[in-house]
Amino acid sequence: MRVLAGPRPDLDDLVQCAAERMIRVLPRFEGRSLLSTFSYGIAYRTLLGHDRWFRRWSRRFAFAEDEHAPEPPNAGESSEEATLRARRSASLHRALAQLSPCKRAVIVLHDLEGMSLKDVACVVDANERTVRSRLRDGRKKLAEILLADPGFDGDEP
Amino acid sequence: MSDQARALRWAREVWRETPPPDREIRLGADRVARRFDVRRPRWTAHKAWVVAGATAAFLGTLAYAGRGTWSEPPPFARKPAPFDHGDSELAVGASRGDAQDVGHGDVGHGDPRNETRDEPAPSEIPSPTAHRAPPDQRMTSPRPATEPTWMDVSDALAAHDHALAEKLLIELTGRDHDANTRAKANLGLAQLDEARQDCEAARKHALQAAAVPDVEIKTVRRALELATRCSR
Repeated sequence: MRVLAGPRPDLDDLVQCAAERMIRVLPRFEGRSLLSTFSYGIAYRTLLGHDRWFRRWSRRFAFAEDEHAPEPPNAGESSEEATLRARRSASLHRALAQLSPCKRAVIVLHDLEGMSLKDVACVVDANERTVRSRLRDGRKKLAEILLADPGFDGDEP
Repeated sequence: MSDQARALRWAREVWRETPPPDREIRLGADRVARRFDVRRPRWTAHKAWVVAGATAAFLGTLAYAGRGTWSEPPPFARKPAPFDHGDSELAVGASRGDAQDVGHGDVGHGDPRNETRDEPAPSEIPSPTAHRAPPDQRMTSPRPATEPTWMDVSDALAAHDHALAEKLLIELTGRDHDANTRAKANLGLAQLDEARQDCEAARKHALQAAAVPDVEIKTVRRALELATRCSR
């Protein structure tokens, strides 16, 4: 879930919803795919459902204050390294958050997590050609966003 | 290298260097586990203790009888005695027969002949309450002892100790509780605020309760009703 949703204030609730759903539907798992693919699929559908709910909710209400959970620092790491790492990570997650949920999911699962196209297609419940198309559009959009981000410090060509 | 490939390579590097912290995984696992921690209702626990006590009383009586205190064996157990290894089948059958009596709560009264014999003194019969362990040694639960429960909140409210109730509710809104608990705790805080005529705070807490995803719809409805009342 963290992979798909990124660090966000309601991540704990999303994890919990997905875990409950997973435990509920586990007896129906037929073993046609890997258990990890099956659980990614549940996490993906939970995330989409939650985002839909939140869009409806935010049409009527708004939070009075910004509730962003801070990233806990890792022990045994210098503050400079931690800050740099946190800045780069924030840039990446900011860029990923600007993609649509479908494109973000395929980019994260295939390009960042290294999952095969077939498995990604299984997770997002689409055919492989659709996944390829989303991947191509997503990569293009992600590159545009990252190149415009001041936190992006990739090597020059 | 194209811009796209460069961006993708950078994204992969950053992704790899920021794995989820162990603490976050552990907290998430604890929250999920706590949600699935089956809490037995009070009546079940009480019933379990009563049945355990009755069984202990029955076994005590049987052991007492086995020592030859009773002059003749009970009708269901032929010679030799029920715990004689030579007739284990009969002993099992006897235990089963009495276990049914225990289930109906007729320990020691099922057979009228038993009433006339030397029964153990009441102090010797283990009572259901006598064997109770102290509260901290009873059925183990992963819930820490200091963690507030809804029963504590209810007790505090019954004692009109609103300050304590509020403190407990604030603890229940903590991030280590599941979504339903947090939403209900926020709703409780909103109701306390409303009772104190603090509409601004009540509305804020009610909206926080309604904003928690995937909670019971009745909680959301009550929170939104309260928020609407407070915005008039």
